[in-house]
Amino acid sequence: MTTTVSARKRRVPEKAMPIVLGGGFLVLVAILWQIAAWAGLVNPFLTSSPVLIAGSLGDQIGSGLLLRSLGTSALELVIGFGMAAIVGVAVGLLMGRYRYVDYVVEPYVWLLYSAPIVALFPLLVLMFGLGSPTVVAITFLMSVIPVIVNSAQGVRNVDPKLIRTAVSFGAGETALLRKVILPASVPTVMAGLRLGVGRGLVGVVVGEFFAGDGGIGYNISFFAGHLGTTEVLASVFVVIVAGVLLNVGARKLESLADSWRTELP
Amino acid sequence: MADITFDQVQISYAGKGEPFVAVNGFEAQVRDGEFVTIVGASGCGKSSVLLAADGLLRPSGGQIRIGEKIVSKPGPDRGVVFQDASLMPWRTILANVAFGLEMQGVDKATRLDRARHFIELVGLAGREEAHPHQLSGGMRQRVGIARALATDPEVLLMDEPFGALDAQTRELMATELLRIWDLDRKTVLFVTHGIDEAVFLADRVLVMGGSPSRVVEVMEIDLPRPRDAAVRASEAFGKYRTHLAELLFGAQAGAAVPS
Amino acid sequence: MTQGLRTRPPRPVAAAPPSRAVGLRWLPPVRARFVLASLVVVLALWQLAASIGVVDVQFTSTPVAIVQAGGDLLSSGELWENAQTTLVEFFAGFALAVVVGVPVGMLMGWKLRIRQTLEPALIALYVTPSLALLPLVVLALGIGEASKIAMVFIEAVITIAVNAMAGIRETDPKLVQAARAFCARGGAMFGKILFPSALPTIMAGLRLGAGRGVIAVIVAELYGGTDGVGQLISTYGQNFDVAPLLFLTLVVGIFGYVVTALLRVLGTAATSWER
Repeated sequence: MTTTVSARKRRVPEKAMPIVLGGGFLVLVAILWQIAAWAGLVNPFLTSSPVLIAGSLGDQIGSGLLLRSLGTSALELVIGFGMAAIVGVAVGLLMGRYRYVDYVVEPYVWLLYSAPIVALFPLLVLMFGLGSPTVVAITFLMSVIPVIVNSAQGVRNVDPKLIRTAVSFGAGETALLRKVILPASVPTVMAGLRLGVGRGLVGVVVGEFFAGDGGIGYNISFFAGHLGTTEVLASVFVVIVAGVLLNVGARKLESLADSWRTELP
Repeated sequence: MADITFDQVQISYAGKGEPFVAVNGFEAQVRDGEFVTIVGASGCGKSSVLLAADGLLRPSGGQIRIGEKIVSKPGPDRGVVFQDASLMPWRTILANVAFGLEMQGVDKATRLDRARHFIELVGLAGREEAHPHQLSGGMRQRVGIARALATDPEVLLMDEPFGALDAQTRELMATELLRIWDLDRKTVLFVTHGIDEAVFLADRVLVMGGSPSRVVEVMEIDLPRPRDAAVRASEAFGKYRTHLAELLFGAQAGAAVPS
Repeated sequence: MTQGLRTRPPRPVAAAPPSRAVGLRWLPPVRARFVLASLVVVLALWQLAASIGVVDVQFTSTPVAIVQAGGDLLSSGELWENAQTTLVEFFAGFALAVVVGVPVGMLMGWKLRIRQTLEPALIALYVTPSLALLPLVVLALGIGEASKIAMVFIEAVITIAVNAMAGIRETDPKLVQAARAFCARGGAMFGKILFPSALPTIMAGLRLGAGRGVIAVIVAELYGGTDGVGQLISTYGQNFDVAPLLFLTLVVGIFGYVVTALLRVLGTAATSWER
């Protein structure tokens, strides 16, 4: 009772505090939510409950719906974001290196950046048909912008002293690009890819709302149309988990790329 | 044959409105095998003169010749050591030193062999696989010197290479540089703002001043070679540095320089 | 002791370069000329390609048709009527997001325990497409204005809070230490040190949040509703009437750009001491 603060042993080590507090908060919210649902304090039609959601997730796994939908959405993301990564890095490098390319492309990048791309879905449906191709197109258009912007910034921020040094030692334009500019801008390019995959996920989910014929986003919209709050929440939960995992993975890759940073042969 | 000639060199900076002329009527000759230092106040354009000699910066007037060739762009006959070493952080020391040879299209085995040789020469044997961030400032500058030497240039251009180092390391590096230079006595043009350094290293010191600046005096440094740290204590050395300080800051400052 | 001249490092020799490696900085007039030329050429090619039938007008429309559609939308008052709804929804949601997001974010940046408690949840929402909540919000709040305001709020508040938190956390610890040495604590520490130093990041958060909010209000209106620009887009979209669709999308894009630019100006003014 009378022990001093310094003498008392801490029950929770400082390192574990974020997990205990952060995780505890989420668990607490879930428990309160469940209790409120049981006690009839909230409208179960609108709010569902953690137990119901878990049950729905179980059903969706059991019926194979979840896996199938995840497969559809993942494929759309991989294709749409994959193309965005290739196109975005190439365009970004050119924009960052050659200012005339920058000037010429700039207005369209800003347009795509601030325009609601999803609003173009009727047009895209006309071009590609309803379903995955249109979702892929939306995903591409949404994720390509941060990749372009960051890649260009990465190139512009390459230490001019390094470029000067390479030129002094006889590097031509190709050698400069491959051996200095590209490796030097890897961290910024990777950050752009991370932002791009995040926006790509938005593109997949929202694209499926409007133009999809399957996938997690389509499920959310479909269940909502049938007033299935529980199923909607279950799908939203899946999207959140996917978003977090994608981000964690992207950050891992980012630090990996930084330590492995190398040049093209 | 590998002498450097500055012929009425003018350097100006583009700016808003009229270009600003920083250097005008810069006349100098660095003889083959000679070690020449350029001193001058900060911003007098001494680094610009050096970069112009490498072809990284185009003079707005006059010309610079290496031997008989007029400088228009960087070439394998010149090697530069930059102030902050400018090593590529993602390359190992070995790969950094081999960079110049790589740009010249030398095959891999040969260039790595040569790179290893020069890493050893500058006293970094065993650190070939380290990355620049693992080295101290002095060590990084050694790598910079090895990289410049690896391509076997006829002329070595050094832009305040020890400017960012602490005083002690700086003296050590100057002694090291002379040791390495003594092996084959390349033509060296060395820019510095350190008076001691300028005197210690040089056969001749070019003093820059005026606005726009030019060479205002050429000092012959008649100290015996090879030189080591002991030279700094000699009476002749003291006279040279006092004279140089007077030229740069006026008579009073010259008298006030501690010895 | 070696004693050199006391000098700053030599200034960069970026001027008068031989290669573009150490190139001249941009000259605004050149830039403006290229941007304009690019727009003119692209629009002209588009018009030309459509008129000689290289591209299908039904898919791509033409610049002239888009301008005509825009004229019709403006003169009939259709655009302004719907824009009013959208603007009210956007600004209500965004204002709410600022009022909630900035204090919550700053509090999270300031108090360790609060941050540790709320950060995982906030970050999880930050990295997920919160637009996924749209159908749920519509279920709960209906297809009226409330659900649009809620979506703008959700999209913007997360970004704003994350940036406000980051702004406080990025405060130079040396500044905090110095202030502590002068006995600043509590309110003074917050008002005189933490808030001003976080302001640039907070403003950046508002900018990003506004951009996301604009997209959110349009997507929410597209999803369902009775009026608003998004609803207008949806109507033309269902009829595959491409010209007004593109015009409206362009208008929204320009609006988003203008809001972002205004916030940038505001931010620059608020942090004028930075330069």
